[in-house]
Amino acid sequence: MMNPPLRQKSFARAILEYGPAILITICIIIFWEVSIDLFRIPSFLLPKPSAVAVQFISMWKIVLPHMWVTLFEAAMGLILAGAISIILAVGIVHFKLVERTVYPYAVATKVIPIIAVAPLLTIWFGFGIAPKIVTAILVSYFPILVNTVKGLQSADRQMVRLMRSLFATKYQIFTKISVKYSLPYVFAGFRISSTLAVIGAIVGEFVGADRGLGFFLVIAQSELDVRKMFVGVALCALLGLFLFLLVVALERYFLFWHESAETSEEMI
Amino acid sequence: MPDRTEYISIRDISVQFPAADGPILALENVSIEIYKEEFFSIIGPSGCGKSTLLNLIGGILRPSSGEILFPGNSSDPFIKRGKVSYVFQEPVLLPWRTLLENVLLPLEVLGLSTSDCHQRARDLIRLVGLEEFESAYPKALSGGMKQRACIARALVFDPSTLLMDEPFGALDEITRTTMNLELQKIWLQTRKTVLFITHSIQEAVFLSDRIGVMSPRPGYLKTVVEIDLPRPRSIDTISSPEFAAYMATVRGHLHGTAGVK
Repeated sequence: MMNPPLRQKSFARAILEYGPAILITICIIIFWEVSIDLFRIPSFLLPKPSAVAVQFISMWKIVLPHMWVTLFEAAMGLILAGAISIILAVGIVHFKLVERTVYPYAVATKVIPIIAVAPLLTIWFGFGIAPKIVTAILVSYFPILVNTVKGLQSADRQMVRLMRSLFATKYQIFTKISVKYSLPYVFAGFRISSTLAVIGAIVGEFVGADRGLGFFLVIAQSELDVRKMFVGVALCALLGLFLFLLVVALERYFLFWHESAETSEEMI
Repeated sequence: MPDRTEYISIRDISVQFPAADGPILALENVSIEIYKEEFFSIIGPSGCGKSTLLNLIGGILRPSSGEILFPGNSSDPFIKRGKVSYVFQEPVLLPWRTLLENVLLPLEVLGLSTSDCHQRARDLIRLVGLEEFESAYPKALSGGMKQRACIARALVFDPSTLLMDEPFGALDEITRTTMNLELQKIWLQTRKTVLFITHSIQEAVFLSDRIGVMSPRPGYLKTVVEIDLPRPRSIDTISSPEFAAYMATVRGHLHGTAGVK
């Protein structure tokens, strides 16, 4: 059931929330479009936004399959990074031994630049999507791991005290209290990692691939086709944005109870 | 007036906490007999070990020396499982659960969920006056309402003893007085043995059958003041001369002008 006044209000709020960003974007695009002619910038260096759009329309059948490949790699990387990180975090929080053995390695693998190990991964896993998923995992697992560890330790102390007074088992405290209290932190980790996963997938494709946006960009560069490159860059951005917004949507659904969630229409 | 059956017997309890520069003595030789179904308050300055005393009775903490005996002369905290219930100063509720689901939490933890437990939880929510908010989430509730919910949650598994650690300390004066009246009503209806910790002399005198006055650290029991005012006590009771006299007595003991060790 939707009552009209409330709907109008949420529409007004949507304009207030997203309006400025949309407005700025439109301004930048117009400025860009106009200044190419105005300052006589050669189109082989910087194409007009309209030219990029035309380029995309003329070749969307070719470029979209590349995007699906990269999306799949990034999404798989993010999901697997999440699964691995959460399992490790649970181990780190509960067993000192795991903390002492795993944490240093987690930090160490984070310190190695992904671009340095990507060629190695291609040798190990071939030119298919597997090494791209691995690079996506390697760049994106760390924020989720660190945040989940922090989150699992952030259960309300009074609530834990209450559970202890009821002689709750460790398992009960973990499942009924700690897991839910960790969710805001876990989602914060996923937000950061969602964009990193796209970077990981593209870096993997740069090193050796026969499809994907990274591959598309490398080909466009070899042809010195700046318009194609802009199409690729724009699609990379869209991809990152899509994964990010997906995480935000899931977060809103699961964290409806959290303070960060918009409470009601009273806010406006 | 409560019958004088000994219920919880605190015998010569001392508690030491380890610290960097030697152990800190939190409680020193405290002995209290708590009677069945009485409302017993403990009042004292900050850091006198009031909460420590409560944690001892709740079985969360072990004394360094001395013993606590529960009904049946048992000192095993596991026997108390499901017998003792807490209300803390901060009204902590799980934000992702509705009020009703929060009240049901202890039953889930204790493995006592039965078919009629929803009805029992609803009855208690009505008892604390929150029947309209059964399916509300905690962020929609005020501080006083949250604390009422915590009291309902504490009563849901029908414990014999209620341990209340400054439950109304974070509330404003007006809400606090209302909550005192409410708590008296709930206590008269449910007849639990209540151990109530407070900083407020008025609150202690209003609610209690007896008040234990504690000294500053290391905490020891200075004296026990018996409050012989008829129940139910009302707002008018607070302005009566007898009430004022009891408050003066407790204040005197607290500030050392009477009954110093």
